[in-house]
Amino acid sequence: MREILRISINEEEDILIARRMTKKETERLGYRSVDRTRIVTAVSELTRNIVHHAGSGELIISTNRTGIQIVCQDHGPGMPDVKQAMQEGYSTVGTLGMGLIGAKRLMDSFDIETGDNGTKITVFKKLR
Amino acid sequence: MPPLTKMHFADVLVVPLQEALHDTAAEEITEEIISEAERKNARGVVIDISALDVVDSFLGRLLQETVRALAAMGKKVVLVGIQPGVAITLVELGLPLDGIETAFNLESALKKL
Amino acid sequence: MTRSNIDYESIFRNTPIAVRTVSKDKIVLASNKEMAALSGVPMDKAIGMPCDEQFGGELCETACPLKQAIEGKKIVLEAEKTGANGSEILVRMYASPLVSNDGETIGIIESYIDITREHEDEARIVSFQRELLEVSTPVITVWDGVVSVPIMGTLDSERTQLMMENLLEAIVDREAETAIIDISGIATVDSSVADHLIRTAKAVRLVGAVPILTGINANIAQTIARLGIELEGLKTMSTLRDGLRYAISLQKADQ
Repeated sequence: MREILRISINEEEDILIARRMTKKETERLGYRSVDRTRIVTAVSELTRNIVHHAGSGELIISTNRTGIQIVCQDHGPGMPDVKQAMQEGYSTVGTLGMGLIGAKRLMDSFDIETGDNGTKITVFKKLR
Repeated sequence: MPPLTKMHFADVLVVPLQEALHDTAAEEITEEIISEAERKNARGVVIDISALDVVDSFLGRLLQETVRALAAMGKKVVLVGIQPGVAITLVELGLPLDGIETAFNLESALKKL
Repeated sequence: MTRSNIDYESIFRNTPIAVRTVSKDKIVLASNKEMAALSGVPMDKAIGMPCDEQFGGELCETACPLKQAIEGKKIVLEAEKTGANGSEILVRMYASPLVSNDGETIGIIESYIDITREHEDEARIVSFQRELLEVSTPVITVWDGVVSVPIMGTLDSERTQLMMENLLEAIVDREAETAIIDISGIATVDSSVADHLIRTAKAVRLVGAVPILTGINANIAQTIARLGIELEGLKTMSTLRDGLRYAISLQKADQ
């Protein structure tokens, strides 16, 4: 995986920047239009989570020949109920769960590590 | 609040949403749509999202709520210009916007009202 | 044969992989024949040149791996570089620490393999696969304002997605009011197939058209009933003809 871009995520404006840069990268890599939308939407969900739930974090975009990998690392308090947050039935979970579930559905793989130092979410989309 | 174009065709309010709205701006805009519809006593509202090529779960739910609020006020709402990629992502996000009237252009939207 | 009999210098020079050594200050120390061919800079001319001048690319500015390689981190990357004649090439790069006879790390060893061709071939395969999938799920305009897509064989996730995308784009491009999805050619219907179809129908509604599912024969109907699959208000018919008749009646009703 080659790291292409690192964006600091602290406020709402950064969500838009992240979306714009991700859109450019996916265009450059040659993803079909719908997959580009899926990837940018997933980035929107994940960066929103950082801004509204963790406070600050980073978005790291990497690629290799098979596709694009996006890592969202936040410096928040971690999510003690990750399993619960990821379950369906978002009405009880709120926007955090919704965002994670959404990102998971749109991407080909979804990994989450969380602890006292923050949360790291890794998603990947194959180039087709 | 970012500039919002409001057009009136007879008693129908037409509002095109511009690209790249962040959350706070989006909320302000949808509130303004509801206020304007009330102010001008619109019978129907057309929300045009053809300029948006990405609609995430936040905006999706916001649109849903806005439509419900307008419906509660007795106004008919039509959502126009949902791009194929947006339609697919909304469905995949679990937000198929059931019960919300849609049209692919302004002409057919006005016909539905 | 002892070590001293082997001309390692010659092996370095002639190996078919581009290799160069670079000092800590990013100056080229040595460069082999293949490196000269790849970069367009002759072997002896390269010595003393800044490494990004001999062979550089965007990576040099944004994420130069020299520091990490010196620290011993294993570096394997793919990067775009400017090759001989100023052409853009894609290379796989390997970097490891260069250690002097005294055991001191004085720079790095870089090896490059040109993968431009490999990359192009893969891109060609991907685009070929896409075309193949598109050809197998064509969207036909069967009447003014009515499009239809026949689904054949198996409906796996990948094919459904492509079918959905083609269908939606066709609906928007051709301004269709109705979309008939014909499943008479589908091998089996189970709950995951039903899921895909329902999702497609929802997306069709979102772009402003009415979805109709046709090709539901007695067998499929029984399977659906038995599995308790909820088609959630989706209009269904047994033949394409019935579906078309219904679509036209909807148009008449609108007028």
